[in-house]
Amino acid sequence: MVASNGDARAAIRGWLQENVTGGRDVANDELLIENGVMTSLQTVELVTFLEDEFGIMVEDDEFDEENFGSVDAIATLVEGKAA
Amino acid sequence: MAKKAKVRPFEEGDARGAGELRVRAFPYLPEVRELDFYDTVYGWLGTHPLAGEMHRWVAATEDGEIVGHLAATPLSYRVNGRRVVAHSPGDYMGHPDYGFHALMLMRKFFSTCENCVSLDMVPEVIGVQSKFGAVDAGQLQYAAKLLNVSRLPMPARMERLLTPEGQSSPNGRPSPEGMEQPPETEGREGHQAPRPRAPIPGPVKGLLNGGLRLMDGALGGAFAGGPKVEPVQHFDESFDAFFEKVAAGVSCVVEKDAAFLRWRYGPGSPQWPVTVLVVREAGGLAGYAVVRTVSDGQDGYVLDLVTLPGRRDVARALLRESVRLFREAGAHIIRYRFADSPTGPRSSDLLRLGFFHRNDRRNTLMTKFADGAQHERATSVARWSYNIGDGEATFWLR
Repeated sequence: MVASNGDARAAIRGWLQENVTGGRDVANDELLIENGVMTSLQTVELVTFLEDEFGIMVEDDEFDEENFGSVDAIATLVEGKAA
Repeated sequence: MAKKAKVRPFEEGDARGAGELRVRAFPYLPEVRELDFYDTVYGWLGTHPLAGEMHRWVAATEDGEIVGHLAATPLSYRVNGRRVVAHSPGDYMGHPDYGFHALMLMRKFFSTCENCVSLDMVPEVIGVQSKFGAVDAGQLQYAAKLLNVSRLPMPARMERLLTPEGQSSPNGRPSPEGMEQPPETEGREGHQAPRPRAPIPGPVKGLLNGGLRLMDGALGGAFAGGPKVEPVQHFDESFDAFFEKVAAGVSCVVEKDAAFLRWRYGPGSPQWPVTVLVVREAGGLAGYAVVRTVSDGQDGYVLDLVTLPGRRDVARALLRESVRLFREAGAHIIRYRFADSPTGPRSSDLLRLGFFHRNDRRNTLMTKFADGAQHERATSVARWSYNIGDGEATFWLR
């Protein structure tokens, strides 16, 4: 489960570094999809990671560009579900 | 920048928007401009006994533009001896600026439909399905047989021999005016417009076509004296008993009883009229084939060919008669896509009838079943009796 805001953001950034950006850290407010940092296909993998890591379920209507647009947005989604 | 869009169920008024998206997604396919054809296909799908379990979704912007579409068509299967309904994703398309929404549509499919059987040849679509848990069960075989070279482009070597220097275009190829299309323009999976090439000169065509005809006569003779093949007008009850025998001999098969075949190929089907060939024996049907020509009769398709398990002689006889019919109808090429199984011909039989195997443009079978035992069984194409006409992939064939 999510211990704090910082943990969620760090975990998401760590996953992005490892699986998407080739080691580059991303800022919490960097636009991931709009700027082409993360492909939509990689978002599917991220959802699987979030569900496993935080014990949450991302519903169909939550799987949209807005909720996955930045680390901040993803963390907000995760925290809202884990609260 | 892309506008905001949402995935929602298809509504009656979305047909035009979906049609416009289809034209954008497949600009090289002339038939996508025929909105009525797609209305007809969906009308026909609505007559299937499982039509109530069909789903369609669109991704639509706030001002109503359709930027994504996916249909989930249900069919009954017999897997591991048990009847099960699985859906196929079809008519899948997305606006290039809305890739995320295309993905949302596929997620919707997999969260709604617990079982999936799909045929695809587009790597990106196969990749997306894999992400949502469908397993690559293997590829169908793709055998083709050339009956007439008239639509073929000139082979590069012959082109060099017959085109005098200085007459070619700046890119080294002749002007496209009056060029014929190579035959590989079938289906919506062929995502690139063909490069124009010079046609084979008339006298050479005549020689080659004569040679093919002679060779066919000789090859056909190799299987002369096999079981008697006859055409039938209807799928009668003998097809029910036949299906049960087939289903008892293979692990995975579409539930192709007489009622299904009447729906699939009878009046009202987008593929109607077809020719149905059968081999009958004292105990009932020993096998059948469903064939038809499209593209003004130039493309011959073996849509379905099933025999009792192990009856290669019946498969050979049905194929031989199919070839004869296609030649009589003036087809230029025969296409046959199928899973290798005991209910169909062997590779060597196809080669002896002059078919060649193509390793490109083969369909990948993707499967996912909620039941663990059925999933385990269905994830290898080697356990399937499957023909290209069985499922969604050919519903759109014109």
